[in-house]
Amino acid sequence: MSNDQRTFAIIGTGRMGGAIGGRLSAMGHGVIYGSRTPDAGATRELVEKVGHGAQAASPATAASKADVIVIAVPWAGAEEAVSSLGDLSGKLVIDVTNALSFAPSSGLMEMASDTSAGEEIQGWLPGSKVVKAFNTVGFHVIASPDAAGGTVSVPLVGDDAEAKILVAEMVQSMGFETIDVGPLKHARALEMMSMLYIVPYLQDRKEDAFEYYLRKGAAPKESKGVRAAG
Amino acid sequence: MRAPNFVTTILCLGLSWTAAADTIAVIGTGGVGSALGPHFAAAGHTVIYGSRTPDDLDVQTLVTLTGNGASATSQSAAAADADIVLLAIPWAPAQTIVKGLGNLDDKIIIDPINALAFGADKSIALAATPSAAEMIQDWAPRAHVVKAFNTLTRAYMVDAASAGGSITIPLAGNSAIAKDRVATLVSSIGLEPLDVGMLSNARAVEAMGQLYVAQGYQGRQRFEFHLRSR
Repeated sequence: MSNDQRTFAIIGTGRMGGAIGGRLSAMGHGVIYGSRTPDAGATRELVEKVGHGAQAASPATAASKADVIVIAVPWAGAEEAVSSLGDLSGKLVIDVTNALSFAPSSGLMEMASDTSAGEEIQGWLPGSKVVKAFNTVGFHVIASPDAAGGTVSVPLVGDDAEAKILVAEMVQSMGFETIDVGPLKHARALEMMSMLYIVPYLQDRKEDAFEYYLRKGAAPKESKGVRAAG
Repeated sequence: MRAPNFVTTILCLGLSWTAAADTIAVIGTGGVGSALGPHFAAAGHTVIYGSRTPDDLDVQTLVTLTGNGASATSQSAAAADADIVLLAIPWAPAQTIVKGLGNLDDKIIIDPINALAFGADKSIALAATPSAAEMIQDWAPRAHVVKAFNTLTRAYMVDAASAGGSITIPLAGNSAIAKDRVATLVSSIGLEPLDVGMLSNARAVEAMGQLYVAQGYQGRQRFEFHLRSR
């Protein structure tokens, strides 16, 4: 995908959508933001800032014109937004969301889905090819990968091998490493990891903030230590 | 890897009453116990292996290899004499074993367990709700449970440097003092400890373990976790 230009519908005009659309647009891809308020001032400002011919339209219109649809809306509004996109059979859908909500009892985030955002979105868009990406990466790192001070690995999950390869090429072309961490049902584990990402902020330990980096490992040599029955 | 490195020595001096002379019960002499026990001994701690068969040749060989006054005895006798108890056991018998360890009040319990359900279709799912660590805390309510070491394969427990780069070990637990002491143990074997918050966050750490184990189980490329400070 890195060499041919595609049209991406970015559903959502928040910080994640802004960062992803900005990068893709600058790389020469077509970007159409899907927004409930495509003519509102904030949406126009984002389109202006992204530049390179980016546009805004209703979510369904944006999705119908795109080769690839990126779901970048808050989880609370995801079902409504995704359900409004129409039939996306056969299309590639990239899910960057996390099904998390704030739990006042613990002061931490908790899962807001019995499965995962990735699996629920696949359920709302039958026949589409959902690949989860970028959910463990901050928007500021997407905007400038060098900000992390080293190569960041983006874990990918999805059930369609070909779609996952296309997304891997796209993510790599944006300056990241990718790691295939399995089928879409592993999306829940990735989304739970993103709960940890936010902990230092919620616990007012901002000095302890960290980023995930799933570094590709060498195949470990089987060690010669003692192994005995437990 | 057997000798404590310079940094570890300084840490041990700085925390002399805690770090220099802990007695650590390693419950289980399988892959995890036989990898970590010798490191703990090399860091200056007294290791007591808790085994159903403490007199077996395999266990006695491990005791000799471990050194620094290591011994092996029954599981409950090992725990009784220890400040820190490492549960290097599979999940299936964990409840029976933990409840058989006797009084664990005020002891630190290190839980490296991945409670996983392996499906016939090569799928892999979490098998403990809400998490293994929280269930263990319920079985030993006055102990200080710390989740650690579950996101790491045995080869890198034996020789962390063989991974070719640093690996972060996320620690979850409700006692800051217990987490500090476990962090010192983690540092002493060449790994990087990172406090990721309360024990309820073990759910996320166990989800990471699920992904980690799935990589090998599903025949894909391995990765290591690096949770880089920002």
